[in-house]
Amino acid sequence: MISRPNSGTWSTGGNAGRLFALCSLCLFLFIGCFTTPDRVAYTVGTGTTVTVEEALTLWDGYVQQRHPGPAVEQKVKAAFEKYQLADVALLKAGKAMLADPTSADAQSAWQLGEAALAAAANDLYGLLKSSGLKLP
Amino acid sequence: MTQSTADAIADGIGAVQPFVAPLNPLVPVGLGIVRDLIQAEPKIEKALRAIFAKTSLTAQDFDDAIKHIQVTTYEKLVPHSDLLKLQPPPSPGAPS
Repeated sequence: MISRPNSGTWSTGGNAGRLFALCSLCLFLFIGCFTTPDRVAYTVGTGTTVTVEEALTLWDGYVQQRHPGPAVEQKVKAAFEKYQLADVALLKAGKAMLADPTSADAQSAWQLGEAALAAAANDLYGLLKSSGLKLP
Repeated sequence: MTQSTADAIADGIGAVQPFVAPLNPLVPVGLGIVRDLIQAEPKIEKALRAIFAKTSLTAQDFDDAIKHIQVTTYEKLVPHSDLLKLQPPPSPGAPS
């Protein structure tokens, strides 16, 4: 459940939302296991973009109401910018894999990019939560 | 991904079977967030559907995604940020 401080608790989407979440999981599984690295990079990179940006939109509502302060916001901003660098790195690696799937450099960059994006997104979500925003 | 992580994901979405496939490391991070964001905001579902539905990828798709990230600043996503109030006003004569 996500709460938006300036508009009360958000309602859930019910069964349709859960069904789509399940479908999303299946797609992630499928993508993670059977598709090409460039598609994994694109799906993970752009999917993370969508979720992070929505989390930051929720954070905006929190900031508007609670004013956690410049020091906290500066930390969130730094974590967000770190996530952006990691997301761009993964997408660049995916693009390189698209051009040459056999490139050892691209494969290495892809693996590093994935790990870096996972860590950066985790850090950002963790920071938002520890700063008071209610996230899953 | 460990079995306990897989089980946690399965529990999180209400599924009954644990997942044993070697998953992308981002899946554990994203699922809980994705699930609740979808429930909270339909536009997320639409955006993710568009990503999943994409049948072919080109270099331009990657360039577009990168460009989007690069032009999306913290200040753009958090327009009520108190950091904006700390920025010094433009000096007289400075280009606007």
